[in-house]
Amino acid sequence: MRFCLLKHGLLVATLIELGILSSGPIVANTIPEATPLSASQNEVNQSPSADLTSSASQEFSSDEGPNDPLEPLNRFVFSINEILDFALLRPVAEIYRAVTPDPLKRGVSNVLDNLFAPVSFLNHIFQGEPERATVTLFRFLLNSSIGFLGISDFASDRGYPRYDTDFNQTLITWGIDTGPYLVLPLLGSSSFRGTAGFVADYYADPLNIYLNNHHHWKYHYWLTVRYGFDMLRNREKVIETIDNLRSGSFDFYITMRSIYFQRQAYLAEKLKSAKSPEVAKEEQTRVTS
Amino acid sequence: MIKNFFYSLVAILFFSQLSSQSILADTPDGAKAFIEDLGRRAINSLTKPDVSQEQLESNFEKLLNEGFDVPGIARFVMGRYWVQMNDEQKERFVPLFKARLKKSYANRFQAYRGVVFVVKDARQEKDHVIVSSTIQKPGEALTPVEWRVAGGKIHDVKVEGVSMSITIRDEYNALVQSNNRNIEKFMSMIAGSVQ
Repeated sequence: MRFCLLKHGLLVATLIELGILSSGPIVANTIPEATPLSASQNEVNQSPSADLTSSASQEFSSDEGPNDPLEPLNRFVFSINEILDFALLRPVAEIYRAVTPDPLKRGVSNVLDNLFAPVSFLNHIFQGEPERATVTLFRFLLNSSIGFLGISDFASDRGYPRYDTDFNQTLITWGIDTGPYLVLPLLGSSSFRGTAGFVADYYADPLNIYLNNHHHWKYHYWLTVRYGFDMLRNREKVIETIDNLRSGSFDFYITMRSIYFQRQAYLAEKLKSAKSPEVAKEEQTRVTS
Repeated sequence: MIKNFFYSLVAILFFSQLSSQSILADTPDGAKAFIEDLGRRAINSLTKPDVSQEQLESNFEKLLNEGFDVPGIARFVMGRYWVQMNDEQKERFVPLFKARLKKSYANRFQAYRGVVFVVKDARQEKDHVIVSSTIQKPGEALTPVEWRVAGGKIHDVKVEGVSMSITIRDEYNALVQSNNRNIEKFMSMIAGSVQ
């Protein structure tokens, strides 16, 4: 167990220990994943284009429920996550917010984003997006050098927008379905596809490969720090959002599952239209704003 | 006589204006203006500091009545179970649903103090208009928000691709199912939550 923890970092090792390799969004739906480009039944049910003004009988005749055959297991993991979030993650996120000045938070986020850039680069190539891959690589080189190891997002200031992507998105572009819903320990909402995406990204990440190839504990400590801070910064961003959702839900599990599948569909839609100049321009505006 | 005539005239003018607003809101430009106005009023009335809970809920209800097709959304969120409800249940459900919306959403706007709300564009899609906007909290990234407008009212709001109506529908459908598809039990739950 100890070796395992040191080998892969606390987070991933915990998942391996539990027999579930992880994926997808850190902290319940804070990072979008996607549904397939081909319209599965689940996607149709969740489709935001459902006509709210047509007759009820037509509207809901195709509603066959979500793809969640593992619901009992998912609910169990979800309840454990809720306890961990209540007892540990949310309080730590509150403290992080309270004690960390905004420029430092930005710096931490920039470093983490920069560390994930090589994985984005690889995935842009897999998605057949050489232009985005080039920009991502160029950003990584600029920010890692002139940007002081990524602390400063120097590249965005010079007009090179951030195009984050991951293997889950690559699978979307390849037409792979989400598969069943899956709640992962600590990581929250995901799916079979999201899990596969996370694992692929983890093992393709050059920094992870480097750190995992050293057997001294301090290398693996940095892995834990990296993923721990990533989880923390994402949780901090959604403290109020999660609080509101939780307090406004009869069944928070259902709410999170619904949001997960909707965001999958949204991301699939965005990927479809990603090549349009309007979307690229909009993304650039969002990055630089 | 003259007084009655005057009142009638005012009433005709008032309703004809409402009607033309509804028609206008169904065009992309009209829907844009409608959302801009509603958003501005929501920010003004729901993010004020030192407003009592009653006042906040009252302001929210006013905006809800004016801007949203609550009966239409109520029907949608019940999903397949709407057709199984009898008329009396449907009639009881709509005000319950509105009370639930008020309870769930009225306070959330307090977190939007200082936001910048920008309506970007609108596009016609079949019988409705989708208005795209962004909300930006101070120091945070832009959040895209889409509004579905038809018949002069909002039918759905999507924040970063997450639809309010679909999220509620999924939850309500699961609740009805977990209550052995007993609509009365489900409605008791909703009623209990708004008291």
